[in-house]
Formats: sequence, structure tokens, C-alpha cells
Amino acid sequence: MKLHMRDLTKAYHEHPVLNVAEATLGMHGLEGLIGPNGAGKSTLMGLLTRRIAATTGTVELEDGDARHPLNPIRSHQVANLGLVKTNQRIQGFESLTIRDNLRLAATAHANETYRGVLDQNQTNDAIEAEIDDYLSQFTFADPDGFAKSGGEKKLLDILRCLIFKPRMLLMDEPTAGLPDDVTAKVMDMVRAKVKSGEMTVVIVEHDLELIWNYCAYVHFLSEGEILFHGTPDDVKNNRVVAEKYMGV
Amino acid sequence: MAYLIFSLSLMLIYIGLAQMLHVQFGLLGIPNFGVVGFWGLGMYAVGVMQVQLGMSFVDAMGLTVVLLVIASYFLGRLILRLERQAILCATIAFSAIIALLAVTEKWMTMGVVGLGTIRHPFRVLGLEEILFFLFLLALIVVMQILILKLHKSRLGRLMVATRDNEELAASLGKDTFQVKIVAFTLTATIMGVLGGLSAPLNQFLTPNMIVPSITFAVWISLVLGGKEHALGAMLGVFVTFGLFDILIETYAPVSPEFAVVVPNMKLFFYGALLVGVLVFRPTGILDRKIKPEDISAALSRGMSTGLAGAGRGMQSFAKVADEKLINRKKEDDQ
Ligand SMILES: Nc1ncnc2c1ncn2[C@@H]1O[C@H](COP(=O)(O)OP(=O)(O)OP(=O)(O)O)[C@@H](O)[C@H]1O
Ligand SMILES: [Mg+2]
Repeated sequence: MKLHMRDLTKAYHEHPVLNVAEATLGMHGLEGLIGPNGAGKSTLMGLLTRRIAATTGTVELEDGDARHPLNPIRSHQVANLGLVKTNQRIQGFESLTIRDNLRLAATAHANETYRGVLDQNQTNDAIEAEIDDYLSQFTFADPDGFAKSGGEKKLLDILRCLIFKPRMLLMDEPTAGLPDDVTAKVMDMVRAKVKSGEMTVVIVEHDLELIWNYCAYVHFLSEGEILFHGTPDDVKNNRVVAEKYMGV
Repeated sequence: MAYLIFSLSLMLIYIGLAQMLHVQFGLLGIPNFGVVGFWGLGMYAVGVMQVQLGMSFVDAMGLTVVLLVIASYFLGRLILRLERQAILCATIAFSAIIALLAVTEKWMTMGVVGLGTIRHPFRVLGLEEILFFLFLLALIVVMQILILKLHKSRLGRLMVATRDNEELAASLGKDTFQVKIVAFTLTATIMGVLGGLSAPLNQFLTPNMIVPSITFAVWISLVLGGKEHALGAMLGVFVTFGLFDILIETYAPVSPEFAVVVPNMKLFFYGALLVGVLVFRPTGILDRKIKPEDISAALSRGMSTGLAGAGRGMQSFAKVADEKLINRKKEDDQ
């Protein structure tokens, strides 16, 4: 899936923080979005998933031959079209165990009905098998209990999104707070899913090594505008990027 | 006896209200501080339709349900997108409006003069009260079973997730507003139905029945019992209303000069109990981590040790009795 945006702007209290004339994300499978602190990367991801309302402009989700305008729809409808995002700031459902978090994300909303109250069924074998699979690959201190450390919560946020099986995934600083080996495992899994055509991914990261290693294409955002985009090598050698971000 | 049945019936009504508040606040995080508004609306609607329009209880209740669904749905649409503090204020305002309408709309409600008499739905001479009590009991048991099932369902899990982090739940494809408005409409309507059922219980309605202290009593019960626990509402009402209103007020041997201060003491005890529980056990007596199975296991263990104890007691009693018998026989023989 691809995201097209046009004249997309966001201002807080008349103070503009984002201004993208035209851009497309998701054309190259696994893409990176980099830029200095406060450039507007998280804001852009919030606008694209309708978590934040845009000041002006349009966003469209391209899915095969279909094009869905995202402006008129709400956050949960965006997710049900297949577009999901992981969060930079730690978010979670404190009262749900790790397994229940994953069950919630894996369960289709259409199955969460009043009629279902009578059969008291919270999951099915396919979902349980998938959860077991994820939990065998990623270790939690108490896999049948609650996510404890910040790192575990961050990982759970990513796993919730993966088990949802999105067609396009936006990841906002996924590795901040994760140990290196877990980061590598997550990224390898994401790369495999992109390769197999399950989804397209855009990653926001300050860890540039990771961007150069995994991304096929990189967008550079600075002061709310996309100033440059290209292959990792192009971006690495770009003078504007070097000046504005890499402190050369 | 009649008074005891009345008190027990009222206690069931309170349990029902607390159960509904448990779904609204305990599961979904909607702080409805207008419990008495929904209850009062249902009560007056049934009363007015019966007394002023001469409708039967069943017809009046049917029409009242329609009225309640419309009222709670539109109120829900107005307030459920707001912040929690705003919901709290709006629901208090709603209940204040209902209380005010009961006073001002005299052509309907008879104002402060009062509206009566509302007849019992079960017209079996001498058995009306007890039949009505049994009907309420059946209703509360059914609602309790449904709540226990809700806790183990997908919908229940989604409600908890919505309470914890609504935005995150929405970002995983859940229509959280829909979940909230449907549940709110349903539970607020049932609060009103419980009000409608209180009409024949009270028989004579006056506006000063619609007082905030009912809302507070329901809240205190739920918070005491455990707001997130499926059985918290029931336990909380037992501890507050059951203990104070029924046991102490009705049965404790209180001399007449103290009888006047008992209701005030009750509020004091409610408050003290609430503070105590909140300090030592902020989630209420029944923490959400205590499973209903644990409670029934504990109860049955208690019951079986009790039975075993009673059995052993019987045995030793029988033994003593036997010995006595044998001794007497010996004495007789001698
Ligand atoms: N709710 C808000 N109200 C006012 N200003 C905001 C709000 N959210 C973000 N901003 C401002 O918008 C700008 C962009 O913020 P954003 O979080 O998108 O940056 P970012 O590129 O994700 O930065 P980082 O790399 O630090 O995560 C910042 O200047 C920030 O202060
Ligand atoms: Mg950010």
C-alpha cells in the first residue's frame, strides 16, 4: 500500500509545524523518514493515520486499484483499511496481560459483539497459535503476565501492530528503549514481511545505521518540509542533509 | 416482615444500579454521576403513565423503555466524546434537570404534592410484595450472570482496553465510540428500568426522592466493593445498604433517643469505611485480580469446612449422647 499526500499542513496555535506540498510513501517497500528533533516526523505520522487532524491538505491510501481518501474517515477506519502505526511515546492497556493485548489486536472488531458475550469466547486456536509463535521468538520476563519494563511495553506496542497484520505499517522510533538484539530481531522480521509482500513500512529513526542497513529509500524532513528523498547513498551524500542533520 | 421485604427489594434495586455503574465506570471508564437521574426518570415515567394516563404497569414500562433509550442515546451522543470531568459534570446536570422537572411539571408529576398510588404489578392478594421481590431477585441474578459472562468475552476485553487507552484501541481498528454509546444507552436504560420498578415499590412518588445521595450511595458501594470486579457491585451494596440500612437500622436495639442519629451515623460509617478501603485497598475490597472462581472456591471451601465442622460436632454430640444413654442403661440395669 502507498500513501499520497498533497498540500498537507499542520499548525499548532497558528504556528506551522508541517508543510508537505506533495509526497508519496510506500513505493519502495521499506522506507526511512529521518530528520532533526522537532522536524515534524511524529506529527506527519499522526496526520497520516488520522490520530491528528490536519489543518489543510489531503491524504489518500492507495491499495491496488483502489484509492481511499483518508480525510473523511476516523482513526479506527484507517486501521481497518490496513494502515497502522507504532508509537514513539510508550502506550498500552495496563489492565490487559501481554497475551490479552495480542488477542485484542488480533481479534477482528466485527467479532467483538453483544451476542458473543453469551459464548464467553475470547480467542480462537489460530490466534493462540500466532501468539505462541510471537512469544516464542520474543522473550518477556512474564509472558503470561503483564509487560513490566519500558522496553517490554515498547516491544508489545510493535507486536500488537504486527499481529494486527497491517498492509502498511508506520513505525515511530521503534528501537528507542529496546536492547540491540531485540531491535535486530524486530527489524529482521519486518524486513521479511516486506519482502514477502505482506506490507509496506515507513520507519522514523535517529539510529542512522539502522536506516542505512534496512531501508531501500529515505525521506529527509526538516522544519516541517521534505527537503530531499532518495536511496540511502544519495541521502548520505546530500549536502543539505549533511548540513541540517548530520552536523557536518 | 413487610418492611424487611421492602428493604430487601430496595437493596436489589441498588445492586442493579451498582451493576450498571460497574459496566459504565468500572469497565468503560464513563463516570456517570447522574445515576439518580436515570433512575428517577424511569420511576416518574412509569408513575405518570399509570396514574395520569391509566396505563397498565407493563404498557407503562414498555413506553418508559422507549423514552429511556432515546434520552440516554442522545445524552450519550452529546457527552461521550468529552473529557471525563466534562462527562461527570454533564451527568450531574442531567440528574439535576430530572429532579427539577419532577417539581415544576405539576400537570404531569403533581409537583411536591406527590404522585400516587402506583399499584403493584402482581395482583395476588397478600403476595404482591413477595412476588415482586422474587421478580427483582431473578432480574438481578440474571444481570449478574451476564456481567460475569461479559468479563470473559471479547467485548468485555475491548471495554477494558477502551477504558485504559481509547485512542490506542481506535488505532487498532476498534470503533470505541460505538462501543461506548451502545453500552451507555443499554446500561442507562436499565438504570431507568430499575427506577420504573421502584415506582410500585414506593407507591407514592415525591420529587425529594430524586436526591444526589442515591447517586453517591451507588458510587460508594461500587468503589467499596471493587469497581473493576464483576462481583464488586453486589458485595459493595451488601456491605453498605445491607449492613447499615437493613441490619443495623432495622434490627439493632437502638433506644428512641438514638434512633434519630442513626441515619447520620450511617453516612459517617459509609464515609469512614470508604476512606479505610481507599487507603488500604484503592481498588476496592475485590481487587480485579481476584477471579470470581477464587471467590466461589473460597466460599465452597468455607462451606465445606463449615459442614465438616458441623459434622464433627454432630459426631461428638452423638458420641456424648450415646455414652449418656449407655450409662443410663447401666444405671437402669443395676
Ligand atoms: N500538541 C502539540 N502542541 C503544540 N506543539 C506541538 C504539539 N505536538 C508537536 N508540537 C510541535 O511540533 C513540532 C514537531 O513535533 P514532532 O513531535 O512531530 O517532531 P519529531 O520530528 O517527531 O521530533 P522527535 O525526533 O524529537 O520525535 C515540534 O516543534 C513540537 O514542539
Ligand atoms: Mg517524534
